[in-house]
Amino acid sequence: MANLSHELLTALDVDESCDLDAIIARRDPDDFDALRRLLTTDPAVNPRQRARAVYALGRWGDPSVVDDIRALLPELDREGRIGAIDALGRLGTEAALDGILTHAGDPSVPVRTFVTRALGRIATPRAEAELRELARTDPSERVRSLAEAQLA
Amino acid sequence: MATNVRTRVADRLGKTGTISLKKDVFGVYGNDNPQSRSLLGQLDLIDTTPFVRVAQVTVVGDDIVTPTPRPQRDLDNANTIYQRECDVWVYCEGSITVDRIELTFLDQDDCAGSNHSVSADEDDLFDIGRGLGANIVCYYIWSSTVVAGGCAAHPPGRRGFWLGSGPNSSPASPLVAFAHELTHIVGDNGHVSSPPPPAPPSDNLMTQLANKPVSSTLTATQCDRILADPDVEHP
Repeated sequence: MANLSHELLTALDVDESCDLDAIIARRDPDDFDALRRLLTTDPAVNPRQRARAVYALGRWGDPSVVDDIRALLPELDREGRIGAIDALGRLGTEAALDGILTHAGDPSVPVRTFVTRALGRIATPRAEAELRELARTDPSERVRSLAEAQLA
Repeated sequence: MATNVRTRVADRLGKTGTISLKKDVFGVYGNDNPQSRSLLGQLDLIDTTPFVRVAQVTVVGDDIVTPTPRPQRDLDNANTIYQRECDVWVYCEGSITVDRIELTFLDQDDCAGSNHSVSADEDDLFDIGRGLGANIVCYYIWSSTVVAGGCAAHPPGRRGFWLGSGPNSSPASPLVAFAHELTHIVGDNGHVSSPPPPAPPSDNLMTQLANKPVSSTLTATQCDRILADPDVEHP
Protein backbone atom coordinates (compact mmCIF):
# COMPACT_ATOMS: atom_id res chain seq x y z
CA MET A 1 0.00 0.00 0.00
CA ALA A 2 1.41 3.38 -0.99
CA ASN A 3 2.31 5.78 1.82
CA LEU A 4 0.26 8.86 1.03
CA SER A 5 0.41 12.28 2.60
CA HIS A 6 -2.77 13.40 4.36
CA GLU A 7 -3.32 16.04 1.68
CA LEU A 8 -2.93 13.60 -1.20
CA LEU A 9 -5.06 10.98 0.51
CA THR A 10 -7.81 13.55 1.01
CA ALA A 11 -7.60 14.65 -2.62
CA LEU A 12 -7.90 11.03 -3.75
CA ASP A 13 -10.84 10.24 -1.47
CA VAL A 14 -13.15 13.24 -1.77
CA ASP A 15 -16.05 13.49 -4.19
CA GLU A 16 -14.64 16.13 -6.52
CA SER A 17 -11.33 16.34 -8.31
CA CYS A 18 -10.50 20.00 -7.69
CA ASP A 19 -8.07 19.22 -4.84
CA LEU A 20 -6.30 16.69 -7.04
CA ASP A 21 -6.19 19.24 -9.86
CA ALA A 22 -4.36 21.57 -7.45
CA ILE A 23 -1.87 18.82 -6.60
CA ILE A 24 -1.27 18.13 -10.29
CA ALA A 25 -0.61 21.83 -10.85
CA ARG A 26 1.88 21.89 -7.95
CA ARG A 27 3.93 19.06 -9.49
CA ASP A 28 5.67 17.85 -6.33
CA PRO A 29 7.88 14.82 -7.15
CA ASP A 30 6.82 13.16 -3.89
CA ASP A 31 3.19 13.31 -4.99
CA PHE A 32 4.16 11.85 -8.36
CA ASP A 33 5.94 8.92 -6.72
CA ALA A 34 3.04 8.30 -4.35
CA LEU A 35 0.53 8.36 -7.20
CA ARG A 36 2.69 6.03 -9.25
CA ARG A 37 2.75 3.50 -6.42
CA LEU A 38 -1.03 3.25 -6.72
CA LEU A 39 -0.72 1.87 -10.27
CA THR A 40 -0.98 -1.71 -9.13
CA THR A 41 -3.59 -4.42 -9.09
CA ASP A 42 -2.71 -5.13 -5.46
CA PRO A 43 -6.11 -5.66 -3.80
CA ALA A 44 -4.92 -3.48 -0.92
CA VAL A 45 -5.20 -0.47 -3.23
CA ASN A 46 -8.62 1.16 -3.31
CA PRO A 47 -9.86 1.00 -6.95
CA ARG A 48 -11.20 4.55 -6.79
CA GLN A 49 -7.84 5.84 -5.57
CA ARG A 50 -6.13 3.92 -8.37
CA ALA A 51 -8.54 5.41 -10.93
CA ARG A 52 -7.82 8.87 -9.54
CA ALA A 53 -4.08 8.20 -9.76
CA VAL A 54 -4.46 7.26 -13.42
CA TYR A 55 -6.38 10.50 -13.98
CA ALA A 56 -3.70 12.57 -12.25
CA LEU A 57 -0.72 10.90 -13.91
CA GLY A 58 -2.29 11.19 -17.36
CA ARG A 59 -2.47 14.93 -16.84
CA TRP A 60 0.93 15.18 -15.14
CA GLY A 61 2.55 14.57 -18.53
CA ASP A 62 5.49 12.39 -17.48
CA PRO A 63 5.55 9.43 -19.90
CA SER A 64 7.56 7.25 -17.52
CA VAL A 65 4.27 5.88 -16.18
CA VAL A 66 3.04 4.60 -19.57
CA ASP A 67 4.15 1.02 -18.97
CA ASP A 68 2.56 1.01 -15.50
CA ILE A 69 -0.78 2.12 -16.93
CA ARG A 70 -0.54 -0.35 -19.80
CA ALA A 71 0.11 -3.16 -17.33
CA LEU A 72 -3.10 -2.25 -15.49
CA LEU A 73 -5.31 -2.23 -18.57
CA PRO A 74 -6.16 -5.95 -18.82
CA GLU A 75 -7.32 -5.96 -15.20
CA LEU A 76 -9.63 -2.96 -15.38
CA ASP A 77 -13.39 -2.80 -15.76
CA ARG A 78 -14.99 -0.67 -18.46
CA GLU A 79 -14.88 2.53 -16.41
CA GLY A 80 -11.24 1.92 -15.51
CA ARG A 81 -10.26 1.11 -19.10
CA ILE A 82 -11.73 4.40 -20.29
CA GLY A 83 -9.73 6.32 -17.70
CA ALA A 84 -6.52 4.49 -18.59
CA ILE A 85 -6.99 4.99 -22.34
CA ASP A 86 -7.69 8.68 -21.74
CA ALA A 87 -4.49 8.95 -19.69
CA LEU A 88 -2.43 7.14 -22.33
CA GLY A 89 -3.80 9.45 -25.00
CA ARG A 90 -2.65 12.45 -23.01
CA LEU A 91 0.83 10.95 -22.49
CA GLY A 92 1.03 10.34 -26.22
CA THR A 93 4.12 8.14 -26.68
CA GLU A 94 4.42 5.27 -29.15
CA ALA A 95 4.17 2.85 -26.24
CA ALA A 96 1.03 4.64 -25.07
CA LEU A 97 -0.35 4.28 -28.59
CA ASP A 98 0.39 0.55 -28.49
CA GLY A 99 -1.59 0.28 -25.26
CA ILE A 100 -4.51 2.21 -26.67
CA LEU A 101 -4.64 0.09 -29.82
CA THR A 102 -5.03 -3.11 -27.82
CA HIS A 103 -8.56 -1.80 -27.17
CA ALA A 104 -9.44 -0.66 -30.68
CA GLY A 105 -11.69 -3.73 -30.85
CA ASP A 106 -13.04 -3.45 -27.30
CA PRO A 107 -16.65 -4.72 -27.10
CA SER A 108 -17.75 -1.51 -25.32
CA VAL A 109 -18.76 1.41 -27.54
CA PRO A 110 -17.79 3.99 -24.86
CA VAL A 111 -14.33 2.41 -24.58
CA ARG A 112 -13.86 2.57 -28.37
CA THR A 113 -15.09 6.14 -28.28
CA PHE A 114 -12.24 7.02 -25.94
CA VAL A 115 -9.80 5.02 -28.08
CA THR A 116 -10.87 7.25 -30.97
CA ARG A 117 -10.47 10.42 -28.91
CA ALA A 118 -7.04 9.30 -27.67
CA LEU A 119 -5.90 8.63 -31.24
CA GLY A 120 -7.11 12.08 -32.24
CA ARG A 121 -5.20 13.61 -29.36
CA ILE A 122 -1.95 11.79 -30.31
CA ALA A 123 -2.40 12.66 -34.00
CA THR A 124 0.81 11.07 -35.28
CA PRO A 125 0.77 9.50 -38.76
CA ARG A 126 0.37 6.07 -37.18
CA ALA A 127 -2.48 7.24 -34.94
CA GLU A 128 -4.19 8.86 -37.92
CA ALA A 129 -3.84 5.64 -39.93
CA GLU A 130 -5.60 3.81 -37.11
CA LEU A 131 -8.28 6.48 -37.03
CA ARG A 132 -8.89 5.97 -40.74
CA GLU A 133 -9.25 2.24 -40.10
CA LEU A 134 -11.78 2.90 -37.33
CA ALA A 135 -13.65 5.34 -39.55
CA ARG A 136 -13.93 2.60 -42.17
CA THR A 137 -14.56 -0.55 -40.17
CA ASP A 138 -15.87 0.11 -36.66
CA PRO A 139 -19.31 -1.48 -36.19
CA SER A 140 -20.60 1.63 -34.37
CA GLU A 141 -21.76 4.49 -36.55
CA ARG A 142 -20.96 6.85 -33.69
CA VAL A 143 -17.34 5.66 -33.44
CA ARG A 144 -16.96 5.84 -37.21
CA SER A 145 -18.27 9.39 -37.38
CA LEU A 146 -16.16 10.47 -34.39
CA ALA A 147 -13.07 9.00 -36.09
CA GLU A 148 -13.89 10.94 -39.24
CA ALA A 149 -14.33 14.11 -37.19
CA GLN A 150 -10.96 13.57 -35.53
CA LEU A 151 -9.33 13.28 -38.94
CA ALA A 152 -10.96 16.40 -40.32
CA MET B 1 -59.18 28.25 -5.03
CA ALA B 2 -58.41 27.11 -8.60
CA THR B 3 -58.30 30.69 -9.84
CA ASN B 4 -56.22 31.65 -6.88
CA VAL B 5 -53.70 28.89 -7.62
CA ARG B 6 -53.63 29.77 -11.30
CA THR B 7 -52.98 33.44 -10.56
CA ARG B 8 -50.22 32.80 -8.07
CA VAL B 9 -48.50 30.24 -10.29
CA ALA B 10 -48.71 32.62 -13.24
CA ASP B 11 -47.49 35.64 -11.29
CA ARG B 12 -44.59 34.04 -9.47
CA LEU B 13 -43.63 31.04 -11.59
CA GLY B 14 -44.69 32.29 -15.01
CA LYS B 15 -46.83 29.23 -15.74
CA THR B 16 -49.99 29.79 -17.79
CA GLY B 17 -52.44 27.66 -19.76
CA THR B 18 -53.19 24.20 -18.50
CA ILE B 19 -51.62 23.87 -15.07
CA SER B 20 -50.46 20.58 -13.60
CA LEU B 21 -50.52 20.68 -9.81
CA LYS B 22 -47.78 18.07 -9.62
CA LYS B 23 -45.39 19.59 -12.14
CA ASP B 24 -46.22 23.28 -12.35
CA VAL B 25 -47.12 23.96 -8.73
CA PHE B 26 -44.97 21.49 -6.83
CA GLY B 27 -42.20 21.09 -9.41
CA VAL B 28 -42.39 17.32 -8.99
CA TYR B 29 -41.34 15.34 -12.06
CA GLY B 30 -40.13 12.05 -10.59
CA ASN B 31 -41.79 9.15 -8.83
CA ASP B 32 -38.70 8.11 -6.90
CA ASN B 33 -39.55 9.86 -3.64
CA PRO B 34 -43.28 9.56 -2.99
CA GLN B 35 -44.60 11.59 -0.08
CA SER B 36 -47.52 13.75 0.96
CA ARG B 37 -47.14 17.32 -0.22
CA SER B 38 -49.14 20.24 1.15
CA LEU B 39 -50.73 22.49 -1.45
CA LEU B 40 -51.25 25.27 1.08
CA GLY B 41 -47.66 25.00 2.19
CA GLN B 42 -46.45 25.12 -1.41
CA LEU B 43 -48.61 28.15 -2.20
CA ASP B 44 -47.19 29.86 0.86
CA LEU B 45 -43.67 29.19 -0.41
CA ILE B 46 -44.62 30.50 -3.85
CA ASP B 47 -46.04 33.67 -2.33
CA THR B 48 -43.47 34.50 0.28
CA THR B 49 -40.16 32.75 -0.18
CA PRO B 50 -37.21 33.32 -2.52
CA PHE B 51 -36.55 30.43 -4.87
CA VAL B 52 -34.14 29.18 -7.50
CA ARG B 53 -35.21 27.37 -10.65
CA VAL B 54 -33.41 24.20 -11.71
CA ALA B 55 -33.91 21.55 -14.37
CA GLN B 56 -32.75 17.95 -14.47
CA VAL B 57 -31.43 15.95 -17.40
CA THR B 58 -30.70 12.21 -17.20
CA VAL B 59 -28.30 11.05 -19.90
CA VAL B 60 -28.63 7.42 -20.97
CA GLY B 61 -27.27 5.22 -23.73
CA ASP B 62 -28.16 1.73 -24.81
CA ASP B 63 -24.73 0.35 -23.96
CA ILE B 64 -24.77 1.75 -20.45
CA VAL B 65 -26.43 0.20 -17.46
CA THR B 66 -26.17 2.54 -14.52
CA PRO B 67 -27.85 2.66 -11.14
CA THR B 68 -31.09 4.56 -11.55
CA PRO B 69 -30.63 8.13 -10.35
CA ARG B 70 -33.11 9.53 -7.86
CA PRO B 71 -33.70 13.09 -9.08
CA GLN B 72 -36.84 13.66 -7.00
CA ARG B 73 -35.15 12.54 -3.80
CA ASP B 74 -32.27 14.86 -4.65
CA LEU B 75 -34.64 17.79 -5.18
CA ASP B 76 -36.60 17.07 -2.02
CA ASN B 77 -33.43 16.84 0.06
CA ALA B 78 -32.10 20.07 -1.43
CA ASN B 79 -35.40 21.72 -0.59
CA THR B 80 -35.27 20.44 2.97
CA ILE B 81 -31.78 21.88 3.44
CA TYR B 82 -32.36 25.17 1.64
CA GLN B 83 -35.67 25.89 3.37
CA ARG B 84 -34.40 24.93 6.82
CA GLU B 85 -31.04 26.69 6.58
CA CYS B 86 -31.65 29.70 4.31
CA ASP B 87 -35.40 30.09 3.83
CA VAL B 88 -35.00 29.55 0.10
CA TRP B 89 -36.70 26.86 -1.96
CA VAL B 90 -35.78 24.99 -5.11
CA TYR B 91 -38.28 24.82 -7.97
CA CYS B 92 -37.85 22.19 -10.67
CA GLU B 93 -38.84 23.49 -14.09
CA GLY B 94 -38.54 20.16 -15.83
CA SER B 95 -36.87 16.78 -15.91
CA ILE B 96 -36.04 14.97 -19.12
CA THR B 97 -34.13 11.87 -20.20
CA VAL B 98 -31.98 12.04 -23.32
CA ASP B 99 -30.40 9.15 -25.22
CA ARG B 100 -26.90 10.45 -25.82
CA ILE B 101 -24.56 7.53 -25.21
CA GLU B 102 -21.53 9.62 -26.19
CA LEU B 103 -22.19 11.89 -23.19
CA THR B 104 -22.75 9.18 -20.59
CA PHE B 105 -18.99 9.11 -19.92
CA LEU B 106 -17.71 12.64 -20.11
CA ASP B 107 -14.33 13.51 -21.58
CA GLN B 108 -13.12 16.23 -19.24
CA ASP B 109 -9.77 17.93 -18.69
CA ASP B 110 -10.36 19.07 -15.10
CA CYS B 111 -13.01 20.11 -12.60
CA ALA B 112 -11.42 23.39 -11.64
CA GLY B 113 -13.63 26.15 -10.32
CA SER B 114 -11.50 28.80 -11.98
CA ASN B 115 -9.62 28.68 -15.28
CA HIS B 116 -11.64 25.59 -16.12
CA SER B 117 -10.80 24.02 -19.47
CA VAL B 118 -14.14 23.31 -21.15
CA SER B 119 -13.96 20.08 -23.14
CA ALA B 120 -15.99 19.38 -26.28
CA ASP B 121 -18.12 16.92 -24.28
CA GLU B 122 -18.89 19.52 -21.62
CA ASP B 123 -19.74 21.98 -24.36
CA ASP B 124 -22.25 19.47 -25.76
CA LEU B 125 -23.64 18.35 -22.39
CA PHE B 126 -24.28 21.80 -21.00
CA ASP B 127 -26.26 22.72 -24.11
CA ILE B 128 -28.92 20.14 -23.24
CA GLY B 129 -31.97 21.23 -21.28
CA ARG B 130 -31.42 24.95 -21.78
CA GLY B 131 -34.99 25.33 -23.02
CA LEU B 132 -36.59 23.81 -19.95
CA GLY B 133 -37.01 27.16 -18.22
CA ALA B 134 -34.23 27.11 -15.63
CA ASN B 135 -30.85 28.77 -15.81
CA ILE B 136 -29.28 25.97 -13.74
CA VAL B 137 -29.34 22.40 -15.04
CA CYS B 138 -28.27 19.20 -13.27
CA TYR B 139 -27.05 16.34 -15.46
CA TYR B 140 -27.13 12.72 -14.33
CA ILE B 141 -24.41 10.84 -16.19
CA TRP B 142 -22.51 7.59 -15.77
CA SER B 143 -19.01 8.93 -15.20
CA SER B 144 -16.27 11.27 -16.32
CA THR B 145 -12.56 11.09 -16.90
CA VAL B 146 -12.09 13.23 -13.78
CA VAL B 147 -13.23 10.20 -11.70
CA ALA B 148 -15.53 12.18 -9.42
CA GLY B 149 -18.97 11.85 -7.92
CA GLY B 150 -19.97 15.24 -9.21
CA CYS B 151 -18.60 18.43 -10.66
CA ALA B 152 -19.92 21.98 -10.78
CA ALA B 153 -17.41 23.33 -13.32
CA HIS B 154 -19.36 24.49 -16.35
CA PRO B 155 -18.98 26.47 -19.56
CA PRO B 156 -19.34 30.24 -19.16
CA GLY B 157 -22.95 31.33 -19.29
CA ARG B 158 -24.40 27.82 -18.93
CA ARG B 159 -24.73 27.22 -15.21
CA GLY B 160 -25.03 23.65 -14.07
CA PHE B 161 -23.35 20.58 -12.68
CA TRP B 162 -23.28 16.83 -13.17
CA LEU B 163 -23.62 13.88 -10.83
CA GLY B 164 -22.10 10.46 -11.57
CA SER B 165 -23.29 6.93 -10.94
CA GLY B 166 -20.51 4.54 -12.05
CA PRO B 167 -18.47 2.35 -9.68
CA ASN B 168 -15.75 4.99 -9.29
CA SER B 169 -18.02 7.98 -9.70
CA SER B 170 -20.99 7.55 -7.40
CA PRO B 171 -21.26 10.52 -5.05
CA ALA B 172 -19.75 9.81 -1.65
CA SER B 173 -22.68 11.66 -0.06
CA PRO B 174 -25.54 10.55 -2.30
CA LEU B 175 -28.31 12.09 -0.19
CA VAL B 176 -26.97 15.62 -0.48
CA ALA B 177 -24.68 15.55 -3.54
CA PHE B 178 -27.28 17.47 -5.58
CA ALA B 179 -27.61 20.13 -2.87
CA HIS B 180 -23.81 20.33 -2.48
CA GLU B 181 -23.15 20.85 -6.18
CA LEU B 182 -26.09 23.24 -6.47
CA THR B 183 -24.57 25.31 -3.68
CA HIS B 184 -21.31 25.58 -5.63
CA ILE B 185 -23.38 27.22 -8.35
CA VAL B 186 -25.89 29.25 -6.33
CA GLY B 187 -23.86 31.81 -4.45
CA ASP B 188 -20.57 30.43 -5.81
CA ASN B 189 -19.92 28.76 -2.45
CA GLY B 190 -16.62 26.90 -2.13
CA HIS B 191 -15.63 23.95 0.01
CA VAL B 192 -15.42 24.16 3.77
CA SER B 193 -12.57 22.38 5.53
CA SER B 194 -13.44 19.91 8.21
CA PRO B 195 -11.05 20.15 11.18
CA PRO B 196 -8.65 17.23 11.52
CA PRO B 197 -9.35 14.57 14.16
CA PRO B 198 -9.82 14.46 17.12
CA ALA B 199 -12.02 17.54 16.57
CA PRO B 200 -15.55 16.59 15.57
CA PRO B 201 -16.08 16.92 11.86
CA SER B 202 -18.02 19.90 10.61
CA ASP B 203 -21.63 19.19 9.69
CA ASN B 204 -21.57 21.79 6.92
CA LEU B 205 -23.01 20.81 3.53
CA MET B 206 -19.91 22.14 1.78
CA THR B 207 -17.35 19.88 3.45
CA GLN B 208 -16.04 17.05 1.31
CA LEU B 209 -16.86 14.39 3.89
CA ALA B 210 -18.58 11.19 2.80
CA ASN B 211 -22.11 10.23 3.83
CA LYS B 212 -23.23 13.70 4.78
CA PRO B 213 -26.85 13.62 6.03
CA VAL B 214 -29.84 15.77 5.09
CA SER B 215 -29.33 17.50 8.43
CA SER B 216 -26.17 19.11 6.98
CA THR B 217 -25.99 22.81 7.67
CA LEU B 218 -25.23 26.04 5.85
CA THR B 219 -23.78 29.12 7.56
CA ALA B 220 -25.32 32.56 7.54
CA THR B 221 -22.60 33.70 5.15
CA GLN B 222 -23.31 30.86 2.76
CA CYS B 223 -27.04 31.67 2.91
CA ASP B 224 -26.31 35.35 2.25
CA ARG B 225 -24.38 34.36 -0.84
CA ILE B 226 -27.24 32.11 -1.97
CA LEU B 227 -29.79 34.87 -1.43
CA ALA B 228 -27.66 37.32 -3.41
CA ASP B 229 -27.29 34.98 -6.37
CA PRO B 230 -28.73 36.41 -9.59
CA ASP B 231 -30.76 33.24 -10.20
CA VAL B 232 -32.58 33.48 -6.88
CA GLU B 233 -35.96 35.13 -7.44
CA HIS B 234 -37.39 37.19 -4.59
CA PRO B 235 -41.09 37.86 -3.91
